[in-house]
Amino acid sequence: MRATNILQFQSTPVTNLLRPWKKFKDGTIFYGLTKTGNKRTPLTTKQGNKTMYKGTRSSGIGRHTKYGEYVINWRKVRTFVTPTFPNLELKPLVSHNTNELRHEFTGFKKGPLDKNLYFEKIKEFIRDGRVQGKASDVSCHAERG
Amino acid sequence: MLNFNRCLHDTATRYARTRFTIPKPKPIPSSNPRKPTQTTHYLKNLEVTPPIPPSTANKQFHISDTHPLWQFFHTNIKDNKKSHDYITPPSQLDTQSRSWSITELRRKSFNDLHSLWYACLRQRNIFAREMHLINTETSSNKNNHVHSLQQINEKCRVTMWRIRHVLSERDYAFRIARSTTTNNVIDQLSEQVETTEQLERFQYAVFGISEIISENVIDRKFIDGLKYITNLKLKILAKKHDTLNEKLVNDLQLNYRDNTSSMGINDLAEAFIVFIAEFDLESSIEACDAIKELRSDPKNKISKYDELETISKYIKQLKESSSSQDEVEVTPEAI
Amino acid sequence: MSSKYAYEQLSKAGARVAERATKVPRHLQPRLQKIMERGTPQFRRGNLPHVRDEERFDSEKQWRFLVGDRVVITKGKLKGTVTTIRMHDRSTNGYILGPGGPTRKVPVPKTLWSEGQTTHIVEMPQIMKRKDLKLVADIEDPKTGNLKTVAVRDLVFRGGYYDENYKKVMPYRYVAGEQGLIVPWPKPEVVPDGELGTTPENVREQTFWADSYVRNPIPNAALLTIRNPNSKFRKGTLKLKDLARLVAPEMPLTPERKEYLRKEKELKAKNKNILERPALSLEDMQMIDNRIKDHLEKQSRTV
Repeated sequence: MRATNILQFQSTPVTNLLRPWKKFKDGTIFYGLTKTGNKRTPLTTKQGNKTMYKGTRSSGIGRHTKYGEYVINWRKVRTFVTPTFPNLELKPLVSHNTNELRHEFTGFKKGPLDKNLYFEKIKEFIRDGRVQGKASDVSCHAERG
Repeated sequence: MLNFNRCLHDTATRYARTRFTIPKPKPIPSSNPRKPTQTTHYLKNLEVTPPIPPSTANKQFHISDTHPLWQFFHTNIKDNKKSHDYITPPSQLDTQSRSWSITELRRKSFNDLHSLWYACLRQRNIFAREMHLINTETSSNKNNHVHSLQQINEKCRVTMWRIRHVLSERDYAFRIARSTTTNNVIDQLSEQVETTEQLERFQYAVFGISEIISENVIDRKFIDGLKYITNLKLKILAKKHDTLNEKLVNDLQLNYRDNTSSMGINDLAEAFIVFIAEFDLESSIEACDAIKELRSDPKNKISKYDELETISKYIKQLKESSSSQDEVEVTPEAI
Repeated sequence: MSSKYAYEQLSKAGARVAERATKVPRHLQPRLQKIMERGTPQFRRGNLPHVRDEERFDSEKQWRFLVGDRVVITKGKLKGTVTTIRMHDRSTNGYILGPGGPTRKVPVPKTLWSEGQTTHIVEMPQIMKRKDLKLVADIEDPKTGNLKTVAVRDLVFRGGYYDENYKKVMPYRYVAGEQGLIVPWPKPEVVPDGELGTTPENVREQTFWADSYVRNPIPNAALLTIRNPNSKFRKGTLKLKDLARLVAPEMPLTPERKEYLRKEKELKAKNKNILERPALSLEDMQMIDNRIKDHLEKQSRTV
């Protein structure tokens, strides 16, 4: 089968623009790759490979009774625990005017999971309490992790 | 009824019901019908109401500007006037900002990360709705618009997995550190203590004893922590002040300046007196006197097996006294 | 490509499968690109071919010229023109130049006309390749001491410093062959914070301190949503209990075997003295010695 027979319309830009192609409902031209084949059928559970899952993973929150009712088990229902006192200053992204911050773990073999690092942090906490660290300064770009 | 006991061979076919015979009369409705086994809420409370005219100009559809659902729409601020967009205009999309980095998230408390998570979730909800709506449109710029929305959406998603990563890392670091706590570590940390605030932080860090009484869980660890802190308090003060040291050595036979002897206060009642006392010279001297008085009667000694019960009693009294705002001194003698 | 359903953007579950399904084998990629180009109208495609994702420029070292740099065109009709870089075109690894740069004429259908447009033909900027551009820099003339403008033949990147304008670590841009001659990076345009961006002060505010060896900083109820304890990807360590399950127990001995082993043991105990090797005494050694001596003497006599 020929891949496509659009090639005959490619000779000049004008003919290119005047291709008698499919149109949208409102009349604008649809610039697609192919003109044939219906790929608009929904995906079924028989398509895809073994890991394919069709569904929203959201059912099964209760049971059916013999009277045709559905009893919801509230333990299975998805609940969203929102913070009681949310910090509204924080937005999903960070401004591009913020310096990138690097954490250094020199002397601590296991990096952020190092027990000695944790000891150092506790020591500082006991000594100074909750004081702002070095990187609280906006211009700082490297800090001990 | 027909009697078929004795009849011709074709009687049965003659009397059989066919589509040409007169239909059988309907049965008389029962005076006591069985109720349906299946019921739905439609059967119970279905009422016919007058139709609502479909019009957005209708006054019943007026929505105030402070309605919480507006949070799910893009807010447009122009000339100090707030308005909401059905779909964010492509020119106003924030393509510059980047996702939160792990290093930045490491500095944030659980509550902050929790709030940030929901901020991201809400933003992604907005994007999902907008992408869905744009896909149904037939504008020429559709693909570019959706593409830029996808890119910002991906940035939010990255922020979200990083929040989970940071929390998981924090939890692992805590668990590893907790499993390696030794007496040596505790002693090293106790060297940092000089002021009352530092002592408070120390007892929270090492024994989990909070200044807020109701936050504490009374168990063996709490008692051990209480005794350790008592001895630490006296040790620090005794090293600083000669008067207290003399008093401790003479009255209570406790020598904190001598590092070789590991003797200290081991009785719960005595420990509790020092524990609730202020971290200064006068209060500790008063506490010393109280302990001396306590020791005069051997009955006051608390055995190891009664310690848990006794301490819960003390704490309960402390709570009551603090709730009634009375400055009643709670001492073991009163109990 | 935009997806048809919005919910496909919500989760990355199954993305691996979807990616595999849409992946075109490498030997078919040029052909596909050709077909794609033929199917795309001229006003939709650039003058340079698209590059594969893994070949796209990412770092400053690869781009060499950033937005705002002055460059000179070294090829084509406009050879020798000095302009600035207006934009990077990420999909083709190309540069779109500022005023004075090369353009091309493209027909545009009426439905896509912008406001005030009167003809079908529109001038669009031409995308330039990196090799057709050279950096222009002002350097001090060592003889006269005046500033002079030169085109740099090649650039070398070494070291790194924290750049306040770009807010990250940038490499130094040296002129190749000239020791210590640095061409600074252009100063980017200052853009105010975006509406989704948190301000730097709020980002950097510290609100967490490791404060306890006893109390977990994370509420217990939240842990299950942070990681899956039953994940199949989590590597576990074998404990004694697991080992006991994995190792089969020893088979008990049959009564016959037990009887045999018991007899064997008894026999060994009984014959302990018999089986012991007798030690060579001094007398025996003397005897052996004499016998050998006699034998040797006898031999010598016969010979």
